[in-house]
Amino acid sequence: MVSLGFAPVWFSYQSIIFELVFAIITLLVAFASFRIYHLSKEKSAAWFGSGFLLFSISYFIQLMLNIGIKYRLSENIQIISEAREIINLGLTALNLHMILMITGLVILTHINLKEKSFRNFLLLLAVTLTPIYFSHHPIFLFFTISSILLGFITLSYLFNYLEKKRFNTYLVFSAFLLLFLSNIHFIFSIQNTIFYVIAHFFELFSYLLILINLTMCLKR
Amino acid sequence: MSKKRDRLRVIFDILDVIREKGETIKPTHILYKSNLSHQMMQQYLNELIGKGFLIEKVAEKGKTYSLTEKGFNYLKEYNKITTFVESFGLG
Repeated sequence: MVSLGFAPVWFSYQSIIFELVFAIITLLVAFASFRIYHLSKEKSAAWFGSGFLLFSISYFIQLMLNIGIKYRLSENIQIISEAREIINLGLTALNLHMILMITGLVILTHINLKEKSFRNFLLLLAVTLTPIYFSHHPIFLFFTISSILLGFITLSYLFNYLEKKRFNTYLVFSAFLLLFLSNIHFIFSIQNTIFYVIAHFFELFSYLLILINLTMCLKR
Repeated sequence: MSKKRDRLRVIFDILDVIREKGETIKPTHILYKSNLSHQMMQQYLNELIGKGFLIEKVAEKGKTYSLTEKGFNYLKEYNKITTFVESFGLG
């Protein structure tokens, strides 16, 4: 679910396209969830929509940042203060991206825990965000914590599939399994940038499966 | 079936009985058709009124219930709602 940092230079344009696709699909899921909430008044649909809306905003921020950096770096920056400004902007966007992604994942975890208490949600959010904020290796910790959350969510969707044995539930389980694998590859991208590319493809296939499921749901 | 699916189905059944009966229906008819205990039915009816799917009218002969536009929409979009809720594990 993470795309900032550790990208090979040759992949920078492609990653912008990937992020645009992720942002659009997650936004579509968010809108569909809010529509389902409007029809059914099921609170879990509103929570789910909020989670995906945060993912979408996160991808859009990342997208704008990458386009901005690409544009500024294409100019010949010779003033140190300008270079520092770009770095600061990048760090702010990175922090915002991590906060939004973790919050979105905590929301999905909260739904899968079948929790109704808002206090428990805030506790889970604090427990996940605080160590990242104080860590000397925030990105590594962010990848690790989001992998744990995604692993839990994937397991929940596996049980959901085993219980219902329907094609739709299988699609969603597969999608989250791919997201989990994608996140694991992002951890390794710290050491080798090729994993960053592989992770993007896992992520793309995952969101395509979610889009297929969404289309099937709304066609009924 | 999951509990959520059951719950969504019960809501569908209650709303469907009211639709079939026409404009208004008495609670005894709902109780008979929905196959729920009186306490459970009352909980569901209160929830559905709270969600804006039903309107309760109190007359001399007792209470009657009728569907709102939201109630009709729920019946119309029931398949979409259940498939979405089930596939994304929102139960």
